[in-house]
Amino acid sequence: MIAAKVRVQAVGAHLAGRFGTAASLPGQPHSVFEHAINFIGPDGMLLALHGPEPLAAPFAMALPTWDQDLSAGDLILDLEGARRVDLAIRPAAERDGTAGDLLDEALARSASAPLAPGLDTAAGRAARSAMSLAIRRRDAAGFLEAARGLVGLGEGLTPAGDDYLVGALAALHRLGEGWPTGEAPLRDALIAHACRATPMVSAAFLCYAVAGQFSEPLRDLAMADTVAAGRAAATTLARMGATSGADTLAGVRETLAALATARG
Amino acid sequence: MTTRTTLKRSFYQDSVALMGLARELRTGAGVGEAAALMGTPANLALMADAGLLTDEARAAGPNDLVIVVRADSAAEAEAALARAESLLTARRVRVEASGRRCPRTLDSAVRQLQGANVALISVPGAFAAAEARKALRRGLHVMLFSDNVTLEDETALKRLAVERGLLLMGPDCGTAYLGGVPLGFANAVPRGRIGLVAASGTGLQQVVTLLAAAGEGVSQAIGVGGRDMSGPVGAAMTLAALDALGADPATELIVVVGKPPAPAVRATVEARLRALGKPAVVAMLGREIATGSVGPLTTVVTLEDAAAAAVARRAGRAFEPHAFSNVATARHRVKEYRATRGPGAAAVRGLYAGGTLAYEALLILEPLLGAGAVGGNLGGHGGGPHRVLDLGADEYTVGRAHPMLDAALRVEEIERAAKEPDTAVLLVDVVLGHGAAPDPAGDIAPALEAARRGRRGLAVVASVIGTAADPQGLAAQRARLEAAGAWVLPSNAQAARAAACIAGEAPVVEMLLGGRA
Repeated sequence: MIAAKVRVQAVGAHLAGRFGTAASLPGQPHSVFEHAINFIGPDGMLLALHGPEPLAAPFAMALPTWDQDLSAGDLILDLEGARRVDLAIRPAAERDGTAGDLLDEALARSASAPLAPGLDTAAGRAARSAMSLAIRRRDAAGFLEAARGLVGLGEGLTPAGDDYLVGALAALHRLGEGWPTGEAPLRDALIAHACRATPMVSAAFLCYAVAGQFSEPLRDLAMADTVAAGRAAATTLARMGATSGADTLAGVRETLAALATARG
Repeated sequence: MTTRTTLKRSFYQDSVALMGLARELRTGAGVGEAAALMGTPANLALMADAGLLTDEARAAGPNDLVIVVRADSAAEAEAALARAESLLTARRVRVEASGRRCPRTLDSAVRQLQGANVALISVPGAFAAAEARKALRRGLHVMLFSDNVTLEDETALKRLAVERGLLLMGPDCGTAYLGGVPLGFANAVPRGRIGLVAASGTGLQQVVTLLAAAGEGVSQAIGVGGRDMSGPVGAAMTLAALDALGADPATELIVVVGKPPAPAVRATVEARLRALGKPAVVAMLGREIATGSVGPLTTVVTLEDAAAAAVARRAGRAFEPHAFSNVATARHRVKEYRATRGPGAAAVRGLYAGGTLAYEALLILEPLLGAGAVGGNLGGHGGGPHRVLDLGADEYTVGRAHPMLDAALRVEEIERAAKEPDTAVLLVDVVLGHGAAPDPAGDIAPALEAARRGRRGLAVVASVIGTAADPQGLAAQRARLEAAGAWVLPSNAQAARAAACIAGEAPVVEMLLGGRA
């Protein structure tokens, strides 16, 4: 079979670092969806291909069109002209809560969408409460315990609890709250638990999030320098997946609220 | 009870697919509960809480799909799992028997079906507006089934559609009939000479089913989306749809269904209707609307009246609204119910699957039961004692399917209302047709029966929106409700009036039925 060459429109800068100007993919995908296909890359790591930008995952590559039948046959990804997107969420320069206020206002002006049922189960509510409490107290061990309650909870390939946790980590990274993932034993424990306790695609999201790498809409939201830009990013994020975007936004919202309480 | 499990190793489906699968399995014969989740420890704990965790499920890993069914018998559980297998296979098999590949994109769909001129779009979130734009740019009319499209996107899409002489039906457009083809949630109705423009799905279904019952048929029915007649959208698609019906030789009369538009928009729509020169019936459900006729336009206040006025107009008769089709029967049944009503029981509980039907009931009940006496989630003026709930509203469907597909929520609400000592009447709708549940009356009948058994004198009043040709069968669905002790009326409007007569003060009965309560 002759390998098809596919031009890549955009790729996360972190992911691009793993490849040169081209990458070949095996014919058998890991999982196939309407708007994305996941492959195990040549280095054994997960790689997602989807249609035009924004990048829906830190391990994704965006293609200019989504007309190709990519689920069969070997692929060669042409990264030559691909835009490298910095998907890192960095701590705000000001540590006075201004970044949190801006995020908060952007979210307040965005429509909230229904959450996945998993987050509203007794287990989901308990884990969210425990997470808020841990964040208010800046209690890393409590954070890990709450995260264990969320990982793998709910429907679908990226369970709602994982999406929520990714949102929480995004808010914590932006507001310079490095304590939950700054200490190696806790960080490693969280990653190890994710790899055991949730589907591979979702575990990949969590591992990248612990390292400060996120999807493009979530990065755009967290790094927005105006309310309007934040609101636009939140709207894009809310529309991702069945409830994934909404669940992620819930994680951001509730983390901001907990931090605001902690600040008094 | 038996619990059976299927484990599918390294099997991936998105959450919409899995929620839909679980819901579908719950409708199976004898099935009490079903779940379809990835086998993560957290989800296995959820299953354990629900009493669904089996030894097979315990063996699942986080990349495995677990399907668990609890049923009355082993045979029924196995049948449900076989159904799950076929549903999952149906999703995965993309090659049709003809050898043609099912299209995965709009482009390949257009390539496969040369000459197609309508795209039905039902995708989540941001994809909806983007896909609709793509379809319009390809010269396709669009039925936009998806919701959660912003007003800005809707306005821009409709502007693009108008520029290109196309229809953008929606967003959140659930029902349409184009060239005799029913789309979305649609009843089986005959083709005919009446064209409809509707900003309401279940409202449209009520009108076309009543037209069918009267022997009339539909030329075209064009949904425009609930916000089309708002100020910002300016009736862009209503006007385009009216122009299309005006130019359609098969359409001899036009019916417009919706909520009251912004005043300036209403004037524009009425002017356009007059300019078309075809007789028209306008049913804008609102508190300030009154029945009347001016020139070719007849304005009515209920969905039933819209159908009746259209039928009368086509037959060359004057339209005269009536409260009940059969006054003698209504008087007899109301008298019976009022005589057996429990002490302190005087409240109506409207528990609706259809949003427009719920709103219509609210508009009918408010003046009969007293301003401020009807609460619920539809912007009713008051907080009680009566209540009308649209159980398809967003706040009730978080993480759940719409009640037209899944009766679980309505069953819960029926049980809750039956326990409230002041409940005199349970008022319900049952919507049939393509896309609706296979046995919607059967889904709620046991709960209605149990409610009546538990409360002497509790009345159940219902209407069935459907036709004899619908897959569920109108007669069978009515019979199922009647067997459960419900009084089934020919329309939602009549059902709401019946409820008011049973629960209301004596003058309500005198006004609607004559004679003494």
